[in-house]
Amino acid sequence: MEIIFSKIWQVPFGALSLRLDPLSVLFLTAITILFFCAGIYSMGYLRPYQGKKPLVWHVFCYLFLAMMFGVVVTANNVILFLSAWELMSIATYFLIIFHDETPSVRRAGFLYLMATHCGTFCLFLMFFLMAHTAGSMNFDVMAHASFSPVVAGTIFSLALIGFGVKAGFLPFHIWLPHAHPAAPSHISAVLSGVAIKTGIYGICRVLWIMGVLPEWCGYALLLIGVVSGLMGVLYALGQHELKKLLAYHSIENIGIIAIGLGIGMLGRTYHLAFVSALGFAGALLHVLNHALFKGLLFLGAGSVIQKTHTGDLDRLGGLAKIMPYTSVLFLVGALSICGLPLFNGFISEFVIFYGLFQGLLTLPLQGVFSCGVGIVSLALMGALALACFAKVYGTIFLGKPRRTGDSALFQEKERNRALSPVLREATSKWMIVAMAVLAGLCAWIGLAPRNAVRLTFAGGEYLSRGVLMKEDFEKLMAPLSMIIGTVFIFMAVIAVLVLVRKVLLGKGSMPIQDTWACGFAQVSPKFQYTSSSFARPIVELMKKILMFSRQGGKVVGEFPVQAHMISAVKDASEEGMFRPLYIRFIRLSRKLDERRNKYTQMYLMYIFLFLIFLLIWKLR
Amino acid sequence: MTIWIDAACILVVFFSLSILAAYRIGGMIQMFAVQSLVLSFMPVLMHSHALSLRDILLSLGTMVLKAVLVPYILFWAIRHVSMRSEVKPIIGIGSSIVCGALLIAGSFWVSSSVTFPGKIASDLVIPCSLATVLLGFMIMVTRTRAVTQVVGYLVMENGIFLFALSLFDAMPILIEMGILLDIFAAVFIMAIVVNHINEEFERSPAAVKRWSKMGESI
Repeated sequence: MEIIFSKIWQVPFGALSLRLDPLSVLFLTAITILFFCAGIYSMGYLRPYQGKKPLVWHVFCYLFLAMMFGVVVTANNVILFLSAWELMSIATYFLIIFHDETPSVRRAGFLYLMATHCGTFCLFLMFFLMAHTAGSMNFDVMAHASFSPVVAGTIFSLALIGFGVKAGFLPFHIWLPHAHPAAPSHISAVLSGVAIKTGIYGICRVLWIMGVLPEWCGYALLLIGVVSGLMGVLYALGQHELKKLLAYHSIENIGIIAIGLGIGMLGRTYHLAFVSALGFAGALLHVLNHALFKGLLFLGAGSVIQKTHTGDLDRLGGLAKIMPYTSVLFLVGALSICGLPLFNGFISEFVIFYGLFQGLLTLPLQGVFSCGVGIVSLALMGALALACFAKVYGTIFLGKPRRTGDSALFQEKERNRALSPVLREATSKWMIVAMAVLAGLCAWIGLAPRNAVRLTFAGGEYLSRGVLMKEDFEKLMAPLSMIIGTVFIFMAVIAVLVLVRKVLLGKGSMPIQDTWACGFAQVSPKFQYTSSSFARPIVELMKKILMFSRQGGKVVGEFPVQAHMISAVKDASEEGMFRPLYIRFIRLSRKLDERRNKYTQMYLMYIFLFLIFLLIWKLR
Repeated sequence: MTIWIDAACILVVFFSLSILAAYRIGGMIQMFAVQSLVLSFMPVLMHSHALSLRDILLSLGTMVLKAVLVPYILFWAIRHVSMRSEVKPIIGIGSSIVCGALLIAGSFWVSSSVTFPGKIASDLVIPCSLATVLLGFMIMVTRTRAVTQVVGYLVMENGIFLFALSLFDAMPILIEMGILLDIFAAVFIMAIVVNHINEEFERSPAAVKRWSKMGESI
């Protein structure tokens, strides 16, 4: 089941001990695929920066980061894990501040650095508490130790904060929506696809080490998952910036993963091996799937931004005609993230749903209640994600360009209509290939899920620490294959209908015309539905919890003149929690700074007194 | 020979105390030079039964460096920078001496319980070296001028040197030479820095104001 590789390492309490078990294999798979694809993508994406930016340093950090991810998910020793964890955070920082000439990018990088170090502080406390209780710094020895409920609860809470900062649990997610848009797109893909998953890996590892956890831990994780998921997708709906929106969707997906882990823990607490394995397997499969489709979406967003130099949804439009390949691949990613059949997002959400329904049947009363909440909120998340991606895809790729600059680009492409689609798109072929690989994997898992589900089911079984029969896996696969069969029939029906339409229409081509504009004589692209207006009904419904603000937008008179409208959704935990805390902290530091004694001699005096104290204490 | 070693140890502590009690910077430096001179005889005294070239070299090196070169540089610095000659203590000279006496008593009290691996030349070496270190520290804490800080640091180093001598057989001469070189370099750099700060102050009076607010003065 697991392979351990050990070598002597000259570090106090450290051991160069690496382990390979179903859990690390799964994360290593996700890391390898995404790093490979994002690396290929960057060959095209970074070309414009050749000679302008220190690319060698960037590539070094990228490869170093890949290596550190590998060490983090295979480390078997606390010191090795924490060293790799810190080096990983620092390498990520240097990758985020690629565009360091922009002040907001530097601020985002600093926020990331601050957040990750606060998290690491909790990790230090957690691991030392663990090592102190277990009497060893090696994970495999710790796994055999027994922890008292109070200690276990403390360790779990520290893990939730420490790893939660990295993973982006609400309310510790505030660095995420700043850092992801600031980084270049292939780095955003890696950040969102893999970096935040290391937090999930950490929680999984803690779950694996602590075989028995108090009952409330499972409920807590489930609750965090529900809150993060729902708030993540609601915040995403209110965003106007493409990459920021995708970043909030990462929080939503982390929430889904946390729901899966939570149900797995509940199953483990009540000794229901099948429920537990389903929950963990669903969460782990979603880790892999999210790495694939979120990577794909971020890479697609990068192509859009590289072409149009903006990520503002309300200034984009009609790109499907200019970028046919990117638009199709982006659509694959969007369908996957919404959890629609045919693609991989559906598979993992199905496994989690299946686990929740199994829990509904077998858990005690409070478990039934929380499973119900989980089912309802997971369904709501799916629906809201669908609304959000309808908005994203509709505004960016459909319709007409909203900017005059883009119209020029558009017309030039129209002139080149005779050219082949590849030349029309004019996106680097490396970028297309990388996205195509990811999209292909999404479709492969979606259509033939057996292999991927078996891999993650093994991981889930490993985490659940229970014994499962071979039939259990088939019990999961039976409904899944039935659904996929139905989907295939449905696809065949659609294909036939398309064929029939083609035959009926004959050879003559259809004329292409503008949409009917209700009789307006002078139609402007500005008449189009914007992303803000699309999301407005839902966002206004949730006005109270979203801190939604709207200015302007009133149209007066029979012949209205110009009108402006600005709407914004503010992050409650950033504005209401961390910013006041930060301001108070700054104020306190200023006050302390005024009180501070500015004599060098005073500081020498402190050292002197401490020296004398030590001498007397130790020698007497 | 023990009596000579004891005498030298007591002299070293006495000079540390008199540096603490000195009113003028020039006096401090002179007393430091004498202390270093006494200290430089220690390697020879300690190994008088089997004198080797190594002891004589170390003795000569210490003498030249600490008793001649370093005081020379310090005098050069105070002459060159034309600073005033008072020490400017934070606590008065009288109370400094009382504190110093307490520190000496304390170090004797503390070091009586130190067990030392191997033979020591004299029982006085450990408490005297500890007292010298503490007195050097005390000079750094209670005197505000830049040069007095350096002198305090050097006195501290003398204490460490005395302690290290009792470990002489265990310590390679190369390391001792290296430490001596470090001291020399440190004092040299200090002289240059003080010189530069002085030049800066002559240019802008505002900096002097800021500097004195920070509790330092040249």
